[in-house]
Amino acid sequence: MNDSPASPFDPDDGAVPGAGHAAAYLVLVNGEGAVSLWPDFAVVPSGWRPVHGPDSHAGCLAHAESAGG
Amino acid sequence: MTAAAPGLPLTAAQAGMFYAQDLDPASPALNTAECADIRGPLDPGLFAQALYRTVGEAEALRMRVVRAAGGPRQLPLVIEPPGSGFPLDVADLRDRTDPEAAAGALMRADLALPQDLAAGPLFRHGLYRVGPERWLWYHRAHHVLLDGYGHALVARRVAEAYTALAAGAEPGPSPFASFRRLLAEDGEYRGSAAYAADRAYWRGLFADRPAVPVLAGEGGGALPARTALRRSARLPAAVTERLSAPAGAPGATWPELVLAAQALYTARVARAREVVLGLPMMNRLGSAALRVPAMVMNVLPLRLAVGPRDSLAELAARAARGIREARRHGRYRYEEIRRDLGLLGEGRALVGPLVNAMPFDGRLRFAGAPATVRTLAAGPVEDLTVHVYDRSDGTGLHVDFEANPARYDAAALAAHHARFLDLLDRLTAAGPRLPLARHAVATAAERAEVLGTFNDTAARVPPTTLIGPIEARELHSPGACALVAGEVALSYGELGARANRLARHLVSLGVRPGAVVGVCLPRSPELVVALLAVLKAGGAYLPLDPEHPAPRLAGMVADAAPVCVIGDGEGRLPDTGRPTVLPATLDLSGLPGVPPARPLTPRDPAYVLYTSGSTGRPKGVVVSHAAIDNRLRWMQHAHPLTARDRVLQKTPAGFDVSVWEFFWPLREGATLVLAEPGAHRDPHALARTIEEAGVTVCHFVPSMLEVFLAQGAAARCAGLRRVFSSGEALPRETAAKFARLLPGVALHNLYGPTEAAVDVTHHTCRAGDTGPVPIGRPVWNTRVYVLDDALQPCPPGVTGELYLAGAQLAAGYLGRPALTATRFVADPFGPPGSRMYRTGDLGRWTPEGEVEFLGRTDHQVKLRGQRIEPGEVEAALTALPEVAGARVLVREDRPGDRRLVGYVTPGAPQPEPDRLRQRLAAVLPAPLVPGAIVVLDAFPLTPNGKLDRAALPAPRPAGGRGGAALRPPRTPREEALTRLFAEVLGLPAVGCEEGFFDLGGTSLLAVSLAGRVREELGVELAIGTLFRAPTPAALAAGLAAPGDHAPAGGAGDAGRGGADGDDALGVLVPLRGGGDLPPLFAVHPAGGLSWCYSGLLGGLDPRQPVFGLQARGLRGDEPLPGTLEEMAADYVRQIRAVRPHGPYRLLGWSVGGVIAHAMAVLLQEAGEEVELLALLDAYPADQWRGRAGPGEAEALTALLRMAGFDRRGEPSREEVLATLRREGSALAGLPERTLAAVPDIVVNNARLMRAHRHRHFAGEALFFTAAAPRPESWLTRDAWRPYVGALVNHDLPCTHPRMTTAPHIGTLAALLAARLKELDR
Amino acid sequence: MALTRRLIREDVARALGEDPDEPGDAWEFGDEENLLDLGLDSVRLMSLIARWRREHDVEVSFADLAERPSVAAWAALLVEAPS
Repeated sequence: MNDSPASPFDPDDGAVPGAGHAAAYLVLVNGEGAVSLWPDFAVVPSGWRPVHGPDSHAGCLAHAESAGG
Repeated sequence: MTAAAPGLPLTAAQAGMFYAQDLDPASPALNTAECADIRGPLDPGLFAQALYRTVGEAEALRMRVVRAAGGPRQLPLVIEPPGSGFPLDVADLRDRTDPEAAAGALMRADLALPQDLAAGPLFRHGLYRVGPERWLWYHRAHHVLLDGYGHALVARRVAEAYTALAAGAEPGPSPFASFRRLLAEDGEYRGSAAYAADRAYWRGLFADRPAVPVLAGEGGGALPARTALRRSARLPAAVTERLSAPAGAPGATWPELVLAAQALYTARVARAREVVLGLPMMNRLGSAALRVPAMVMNVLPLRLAVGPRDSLAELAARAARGIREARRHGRYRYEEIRRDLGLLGEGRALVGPLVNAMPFDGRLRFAGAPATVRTLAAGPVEDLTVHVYDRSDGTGLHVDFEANPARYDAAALAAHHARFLDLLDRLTAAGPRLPLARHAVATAAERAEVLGTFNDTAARVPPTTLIGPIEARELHSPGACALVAGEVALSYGELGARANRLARHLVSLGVRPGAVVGVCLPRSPELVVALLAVLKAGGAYLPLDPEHPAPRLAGMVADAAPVCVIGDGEGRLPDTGRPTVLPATLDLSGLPGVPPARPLTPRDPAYVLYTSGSTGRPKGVVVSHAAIDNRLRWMQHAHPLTARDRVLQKTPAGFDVSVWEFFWPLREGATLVLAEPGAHRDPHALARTIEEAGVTVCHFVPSMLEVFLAQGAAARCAGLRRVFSSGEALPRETAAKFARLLPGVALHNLYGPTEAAVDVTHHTCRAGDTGPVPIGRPVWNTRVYVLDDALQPCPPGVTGELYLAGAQLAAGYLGRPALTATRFVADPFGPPGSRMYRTGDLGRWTPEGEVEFLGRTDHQVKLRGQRIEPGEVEAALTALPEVAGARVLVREDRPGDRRLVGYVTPGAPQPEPDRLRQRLAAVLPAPLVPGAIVVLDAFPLTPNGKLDRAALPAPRPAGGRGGAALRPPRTPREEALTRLFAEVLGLPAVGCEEGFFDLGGTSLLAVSLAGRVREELGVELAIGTLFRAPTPAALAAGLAAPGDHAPAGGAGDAGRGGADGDDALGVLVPLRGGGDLPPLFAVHPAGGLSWCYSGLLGGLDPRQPVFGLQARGLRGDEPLPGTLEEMAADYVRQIRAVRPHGPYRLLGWSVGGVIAHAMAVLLQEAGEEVELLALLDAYPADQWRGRAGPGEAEALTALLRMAGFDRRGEPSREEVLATLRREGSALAGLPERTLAAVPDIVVNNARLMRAHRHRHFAGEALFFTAAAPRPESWLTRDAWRPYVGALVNHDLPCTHPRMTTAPHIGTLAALLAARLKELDR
Repeated sequence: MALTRRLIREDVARALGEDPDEPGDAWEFGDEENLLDLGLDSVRLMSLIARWRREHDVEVSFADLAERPSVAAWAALLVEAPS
């Protein structure tokens, strides 16, 4: 196997050349203040709204770290 | 048919087909066939003429293929005309019940016949009349002759010729070009620069030899299947329309779109980011081949990356670019690419599914009668081929799936086919710029099933806390027994009162909802009191395992910042800076024994458990009351406890299984039975507790359950009602064994991470079930999703990652908001704003709605139920200066024995494995310390730069161990133990001072060792003993007396050689002292030691005691006997002291047999019965008399032979000792004076034997002959005949010296055991 | 309407040129150039054959066009008068 594929929530290790778009992520929050990382290719689930991104994985994590507190 | 001109070479394409047939000559899979359905009048005679003429024009059809020295050749055949043997069957089937079916049967029967390529012709036709104006024309040809395009050329010409003939005209000149020209073109290519360039291109493109994603798992044999399964379908007109004129992807042709769709489907189902598809290509564009019926087609491999953000248009364009590029090098054969990459030899595939787009017009006319053509067989299918074709009959595009039945059953194929068609529809209907991630591969019905039906778990649950129902019990049944721990019992009232008082004290220290309280106590009533007290105060408890290293506990405390920590003052806790509460020292009697007031709600946290963290820091999971309450309410509903139940608490409080162990019984008024601390490792102790305390419900991690069942402890536990298993995959064999041993007890398999309140799915095992044990269905108010890498739901049978949602999700990780945000993510399928937890586990739905667990997506491992992030161990290693880099993984070098192994590259100073492990043990809990550490210069890497796990060496503890530890054994018991250690640990040899656990032993292996010790030595080895005395030497010293009782008759003079731990050189040595059968006495061979017989023990009945008789003089301080009679009499006295009366069982190898015979005679003369006299290749004195006895040199050789070394020559004493030591023989451990005495003993024994005169033994001698050729050719067992009543013989295929070594001694033991069994009856 | 060399070239370009990654003007290929190298495959070829049958009443076999796939060769085959 071309190693196990990265989860959509893990940073893309760029192992597959020739793939199309670079990975980008969002940071979502819900009504109760929970914070979620989210891959930009998926529809944002209802009850959640994006508060950051599209950004790199590291950029989103940094935002989540400070937003969560 | 006669052969004509000399042969021609094959084209590369033909050679490919020849070698494919050669792999499996009896396979018919290389027959290709088509069927034309002709509707109208037809003249069979003219038809035959048209066929004959066409065959005459297509030279390739008239060939047969033979092997030759330089490779296969094709030889022309003469094909006879119709009427003289032309291969055409004509049949009128109109009178059959179902003419079309009858025709089909004839075609299938013909297709199933394998062809002999060397005979010929390699084609056949059939013309079947199935209606007044309907004919089926069947044309079968071996793939070496024709491909699909070739078939079409032939069919078109036949139709053309027939049409002309039917009009009375001459068919025009042959439209075909020269086959020879094709051969020449092929030859030119193979010698050209283009050939070399093409070869290099493919080697470069596939240099990394990627593993190929396929829809089915592994499977299928080494050979391609002989048959294929096929599913056909017509696309709806709308879909054909969209594929032909795709909006938004205008340049894309329908083959490219179908290819893109298949790439997407395969990538999702196989969980791959890149697929390798195969494209059958006609390979004739721009070539003379356009007009030659022949085999030309090739399969082009296409690597295609598929990402979730790609759109259909982008993917199709990428596919088109890839195809264009591949076609430039498309003349290079697929089979040769495979061979160049070395895949053929390994039986590995080059491509996954094939996508075969056939744009050809299948319409023909036979003198006006229209015909449509159908392909019946297109060659072997290794995995899956998708055929897409347009029949040009107005029915639009057809999509057929053809599959290897060894990999896909009919149901699986049908499911893939239906899904693919549905996917094509959805893909083409949606906007072409949409990210492909928006599409699931599941159909709408499958989606509804997995998201809805399978997850229909809503249940009303009252809003209670973990502690509420317990307090209700305290109130309503205070007298009922709540807790039992050994002799101590507490009622609900007592337990509650104590907990309430402590809770009030905690409240006074500031504990309230949201606060954390650490609890560092061993398993005991005090622990239960403390946990309850924290909950009653409204806080969340944080278990701190007293067995964990202090620094680790300190880290957790610093991280969780509890208000205080409850301990017992035993110094387990480091100084944490937090207030410590020692209930044992407090006088709380002044506080009321009722629960304190607290503003506790179900949303508040109930406990915090730490799990292994991949970056080195363990992470705290915070679970709310609502979450755990849901879990326990479900459990009570599904598997109700009554007040009479007794639940065993044995799991350490740091594992979440303990949560239901502690609190479930207390909520339901049942009794909690506490096992002793540490007992969770000892199945015998557990069985005892279960039996004695009347436990009805308990939990086992599967690996512990296996040990529990294997050790016979389970038989005592039939009082159990239910056993729950979780923490690891439960093997089917274990569940089956459970059903056999405990048939009245229910076994439930549960699954769930700490992050979802213990367990989220459940499955009840049923006897007779097969296949992997599922983890089952979700519990109340819980949803399980199996999602692919685009976060779309997977249909049943397709593997994806498990995501969990619902009421049991933890709040998150304590103090780690970013980590929490990546693991607890938004739930696209639940109520608005809901979350789901990403487990990292792989699984799939069964059609019945249960989940099967299929492993991890990452490197986290479970070892005996313990969750371990290798990253955490790696971080601990790299924190040490001696370690530059570290990789940790689980290895299973012996089946069933999994252990954690660390690989490090050196920093400074040079790392030393044992020292590293010591350092780790100071900071990590024991289960996270690798059993072995291997120092490497560098980590082996794959071509991709990743760790090449397969190239990591197995840990070899032999290297680098201290010399002293390797000390050879000094006693038979030490010898036996080193042997058993080695056997159990899977090592070639073990030294006497080497520690069991240092060598990689685990608790599970310890139990195996105890079993082997019991079997072979008849002695009980308690696991605790092994922990205290883990080396063979220590064990041998400690193991003696218990169970090792002397046989009936008392010890007597056996004391001189009895307790063998002290005296292995005595005259009578118990090799196995225990057992109630008549003992077997084995007499020493020439060297005087009986240790050689210990190899018999494993093959004899465990109740058979075995004593060895050894020569006087081994201690160097006794006179040697003067005659053999004297020796025999001495030995008879020895054995009669242990066993005064018979029947007696005697055995002797070599001179020992002679002595045993003499003893047998003496015993008989004394009126005793000798029921067994076994002579191991021992020959009577008569045969030796007159031959020179051995001198010292021969004696030394004999010594070597005694040790099992068959040496010739004249060794010196020093050389012999060196040999013995080098080979690690137990003999090398003998004291000097013994080794010095042995040659004297040998010489003496030889002298005594030659002088001996035998008397008659009136009994049967059981003889074992070393039947391999030997120099002493005169030796014959018949020489015993005057001296024995009867002689029964067994031949062993070995030489004399090897008789007491493996494997021959095992055979011998078996034969002996069989005879003894007869005697025992 | 009769098929001309220019129309052949336009239709071929359209069949080949919709690739967004293709650099430059899709019309710029030589009359003698091997169209297979530019991405012509059997499906595109068959769609051209079908189009020319439909719009210009031209009948030509797959093999005829596939044997020498260049605009020049096709024009020689299909066009009655030079254009």
